[in-house]
Amino acid sequence: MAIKINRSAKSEQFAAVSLKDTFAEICRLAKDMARPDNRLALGVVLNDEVYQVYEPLTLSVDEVPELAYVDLTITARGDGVCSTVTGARTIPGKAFAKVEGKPYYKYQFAPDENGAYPKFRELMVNKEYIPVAHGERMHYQFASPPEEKAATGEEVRGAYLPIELVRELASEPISGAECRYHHCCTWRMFRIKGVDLNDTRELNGETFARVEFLEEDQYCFLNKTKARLPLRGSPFYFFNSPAFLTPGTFTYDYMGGTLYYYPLRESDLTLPIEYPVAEQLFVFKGLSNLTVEKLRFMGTTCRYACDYPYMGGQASRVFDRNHKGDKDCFRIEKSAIFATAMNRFTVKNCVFEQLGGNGIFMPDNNVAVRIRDNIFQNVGMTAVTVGNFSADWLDPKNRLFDIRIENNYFEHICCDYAILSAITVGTVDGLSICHNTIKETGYMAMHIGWTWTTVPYALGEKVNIRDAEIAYNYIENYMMIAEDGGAIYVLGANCNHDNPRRFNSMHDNYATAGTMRIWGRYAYYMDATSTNWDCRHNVTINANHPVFSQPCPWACSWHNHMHENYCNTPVRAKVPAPDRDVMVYNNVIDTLPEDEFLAKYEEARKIRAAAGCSEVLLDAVRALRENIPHAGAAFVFPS
Amino acid sequence: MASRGILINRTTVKNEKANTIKEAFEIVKTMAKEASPQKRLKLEIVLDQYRYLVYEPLVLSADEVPELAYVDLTVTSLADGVRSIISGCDWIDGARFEAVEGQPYYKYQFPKDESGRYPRFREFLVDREHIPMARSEEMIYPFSRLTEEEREDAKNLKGTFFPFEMAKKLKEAPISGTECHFFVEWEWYACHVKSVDLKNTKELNGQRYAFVEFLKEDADAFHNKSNKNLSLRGRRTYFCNSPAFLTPGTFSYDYKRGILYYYPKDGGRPRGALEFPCVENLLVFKGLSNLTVDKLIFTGTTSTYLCDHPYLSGQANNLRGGGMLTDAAVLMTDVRHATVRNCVFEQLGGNGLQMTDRNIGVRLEGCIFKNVEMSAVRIGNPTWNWQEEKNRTYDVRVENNYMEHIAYGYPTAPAFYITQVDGFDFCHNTVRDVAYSAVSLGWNWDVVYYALGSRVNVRDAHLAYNRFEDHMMLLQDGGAIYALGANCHHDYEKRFNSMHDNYSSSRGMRDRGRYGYYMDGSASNWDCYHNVMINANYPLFSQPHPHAASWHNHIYDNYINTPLAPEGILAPERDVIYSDNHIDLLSEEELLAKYEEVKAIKAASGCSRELLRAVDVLYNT
Repeated sequence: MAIKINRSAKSEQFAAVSLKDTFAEICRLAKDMARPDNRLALGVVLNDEVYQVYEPLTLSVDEVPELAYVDLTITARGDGVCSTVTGARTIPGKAFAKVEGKPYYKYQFAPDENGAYPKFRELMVNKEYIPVAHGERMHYQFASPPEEKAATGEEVRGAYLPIELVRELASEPISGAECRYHHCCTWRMFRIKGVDLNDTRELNGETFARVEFLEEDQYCFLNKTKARLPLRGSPFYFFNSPAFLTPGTFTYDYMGGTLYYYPLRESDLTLPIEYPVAEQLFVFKGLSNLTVEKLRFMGTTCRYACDYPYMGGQASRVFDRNHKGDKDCFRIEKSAIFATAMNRFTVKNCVFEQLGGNGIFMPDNNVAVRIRDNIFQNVGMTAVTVGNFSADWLDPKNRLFDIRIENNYFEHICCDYAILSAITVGTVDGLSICHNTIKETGYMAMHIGWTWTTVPYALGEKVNIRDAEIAYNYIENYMMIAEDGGAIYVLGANCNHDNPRRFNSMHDNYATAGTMRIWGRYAYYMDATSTNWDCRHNVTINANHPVFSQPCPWACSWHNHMHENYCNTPVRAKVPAPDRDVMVYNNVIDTLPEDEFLAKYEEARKIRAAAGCSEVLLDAVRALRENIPHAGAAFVFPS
Repeated sequence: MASRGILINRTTVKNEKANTIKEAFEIVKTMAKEASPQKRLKLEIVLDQYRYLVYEPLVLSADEVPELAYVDLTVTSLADGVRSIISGCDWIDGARFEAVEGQPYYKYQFPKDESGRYPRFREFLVDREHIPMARSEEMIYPFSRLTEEEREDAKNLKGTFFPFEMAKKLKEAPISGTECHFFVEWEWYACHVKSVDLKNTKELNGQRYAFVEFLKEDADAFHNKSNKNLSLRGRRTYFCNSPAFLTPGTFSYDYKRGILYYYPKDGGRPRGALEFPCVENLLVFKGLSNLTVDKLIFTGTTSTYLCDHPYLSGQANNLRGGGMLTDAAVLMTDVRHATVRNCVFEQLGGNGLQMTDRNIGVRLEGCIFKNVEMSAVRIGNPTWNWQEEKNRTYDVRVENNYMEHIAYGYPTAPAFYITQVDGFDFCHNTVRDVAYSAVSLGWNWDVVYYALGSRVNVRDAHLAYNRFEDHMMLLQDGGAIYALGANCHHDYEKRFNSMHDNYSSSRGMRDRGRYGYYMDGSASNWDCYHNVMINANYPLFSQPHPHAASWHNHIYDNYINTPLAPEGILAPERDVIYSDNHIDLLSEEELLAKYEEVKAIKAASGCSRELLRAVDVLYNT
């Protein structure tokens, strides 16, 4: 299982047995040889193997300052992706025992030395995450608890949900069961403590029984539901309860260590069954000239929601029970690759799949990032996050420069945390998001920028979004769960109003949303004081608002032009505002179904044909699907 | 002379009156104390149609009164079409001049001030206009530059040799105050003469040279600080400011002994308005925001540095090893949203408008600059250190201005100079008759490795529709537009800077060194298209030097009447692309006749007709 470390200058080679040894060897070489005036070039070449990583492997200048002077490439030996880095551990199928009187099986984990059971939220069968069992979707019928309390003066005692569903939930062990819901652009996951079928409420001839959450979750449900966002009508469902197991699903009681699995076929128990152990695989800090290529990352989880109520808001923010305002929130940084304070970081020809956290997460002060020719699929949180969500550009850690995310394939992203976006980028100067294919996202396909207010600064003095080009992306089935977001969502003013130049552009994108929703699905969405955007020559299908530049008087947009777009839904009347140089012109709006629309407009067809990732990458995606993915499978990527 | 009737308007609620600008500034400072970040104060100083004399810089600084940062201030004239004059000149009564015995010129002995010093200045105005300083005929310096050994031993080198007859003539008049000027490619040196030794001679190519000793500081500087990469041989040089070389209509001033020599043009006694400048700055603003200077004429400043020191200046009039001077009629530092419009800057011995440190949101519109000895406009600090906040300039727009006869006093000064800048528009300006480059921007020679935005040299610059006439009249190696320095890492190929639709022509060719649109010192990310360049040695130039090679510059669709040169500038491997340029070795008239597009570019270039009419009214009618 030897890993080669090549030192370019003298073509020296060092051997390591494991990835952990490899990283240790890199640190040793850096300490010995790397200097500011004498950079060290190292190449790590992985074999056609599966490398198991149960704790993050770290290269950080905090520990080894000389790593700042290493040019490092981590790659696989052959062409295509052939080395796998996984954070998952196998459970033998024969260790599962059939649950008496039930069609599913269970596996009881042994407690560790502290008496705790492993915590994870995903299960992989035959190298692919399978769904968690969940109840049917219902809509909450009552006002939010703070609203009710204000109206009646009485404390609400829990969530009241249809009694039949609650009864079904109570028919099996409740430990580990959760209730999930979203209202507008928020996402909640609360852990259930119990139900009280005797505590009921009647409404419109229907009976609702009380569900009580664990203490902290209960506090959040009762006190932290935003009054301005209506809870009534919000979709709810029960999650991770064996009561709702169906073939091909699982649940895991992370409190009691019991895993329930309902295989599609009995024979599935003979397939590799794995659960994720690691939350992070690779961690890099402060490096420059680092390239990661031709590796497959898989098998991670994020344990946060096992321990705490999850209250998520826009841009990956998470609020704890004491949350008071935007500054109190935080983000979950668990990711296959975590990299921060990087200069010239490239990730190319890699596969990120079956990940319970984020794919690539890069918070602070990153410069010249290249994410190219990668495949992201089945990623629970964001596929790619770069930057912080702070309007404080003057703090160097919040600055991003020259970020390029090009020719990648994303599918089924952030569906487990449906308030996240496939791509999120913070305040950035120099951004290219081009030629990506993005399919099936819980919330938005991409989210860029972070500020709501008008700004007085001159262009360049501070930055929200500058010199961004978002073009030739193919976006399909976005906003599958949450509302009030877009295929491409850009947020915030980018300089004071006396600069009319449109230095940001989104063009030649194709966004299709399958069926229409009642509300809340935007396509090209310039929100909250957004300025200086040129939105042109895009196609949007089945969006409630095809092009939208915020007209709200408290946060109105300026200097945005929307032109030559092809839309099959009308533009909202309030959007054009010539007094603010928000112009909507020369758009083709024709309320036809997608196929008729495309048949009628050749230009829309051309935009669609030119949008998305390369055929070579799509071939790689197909190959990945058709072959059972395992180490050694070589998929030829574009060079 | 008493000034009169200055109004200070405070948002039409309360008016105050002052008699002098100094008084007006004091009232503004007092009123400013009411201002706060939450409650900005709007003030307007309205000057009468009058000539206000300023003998010490008038300063409004947030260092002194922090609340000034929260005042929106306009300094303007009473009525439209009328400009109030702010002058730094004092007058001399012509009757006080006395004839110099045996000479056709006159002299005036200044009295000493209370500290025993004479006034120091380098300009003399007759009837409101600079007259030339007396100077010898030019010679071409015949000696080589100093060797390294000679430089090391430079303390013993007290001067240099000049043609014997020239030195002899110099010796015939008082030498104190005499300067010797050297024009060395893109540099300019001025040293003070101490003495002439006609017995110490040297022969070269059959010609005799006598030794001229410089003041010690000047000799040391000349031998140690002059650019060692530039040969002195073959450079133009002459003596200046010696009464020995007075001709009709010239002056010299011995600032060491306080004697002003003046040779009236008509040979008669000195008469008319005879003035000398007393100040280096007229108005100084620091730390203000929302500042407007409108409809004023600034005149009569000087720069005294050269009276006291040798002057060895490199590119953009920066002193070799000494940084920049801040001698300017209007000096602004660390201002935000500053507008200067409809003003005239004339007969100035320093810069016209100078802005140092961090400036944001600068607007310069509808101004006239004429007879300015340094730069008409100078913005920013000459450093590559963008990381230091004080060196950053953002959002500068210079539109519809007129500049003529600029930088003949200090020829390394470009007519318009801006250092590192993010967001720059220079459009529809007319720049005529300048000693060196018409426009110079950027400050960095090396290849850079930073991502776009993480630092800045020149970003989002747009120079278009300008008219340049007669640039590079004294020095070499500069251009109509001189853009200097790399602007980001080579892997960023977008051309975010542009120069286009500019028209540049010069009377006749120079033997060398006049470039047109010049991207120097690893300059990168420029689009240079649809310009005209007449009579430049190198009309379109993107630096090919291996140590400072340019990248990502596209130069296309330009009309030029001289060939592209030299070899090596075409570099597709660096994405330096020359394409579709129209090279036709014709005269300007023929080029205009032949190409409709050239005519169209010319017609659309330069400042407005209205501003040209204003120039005409001011100077020709």
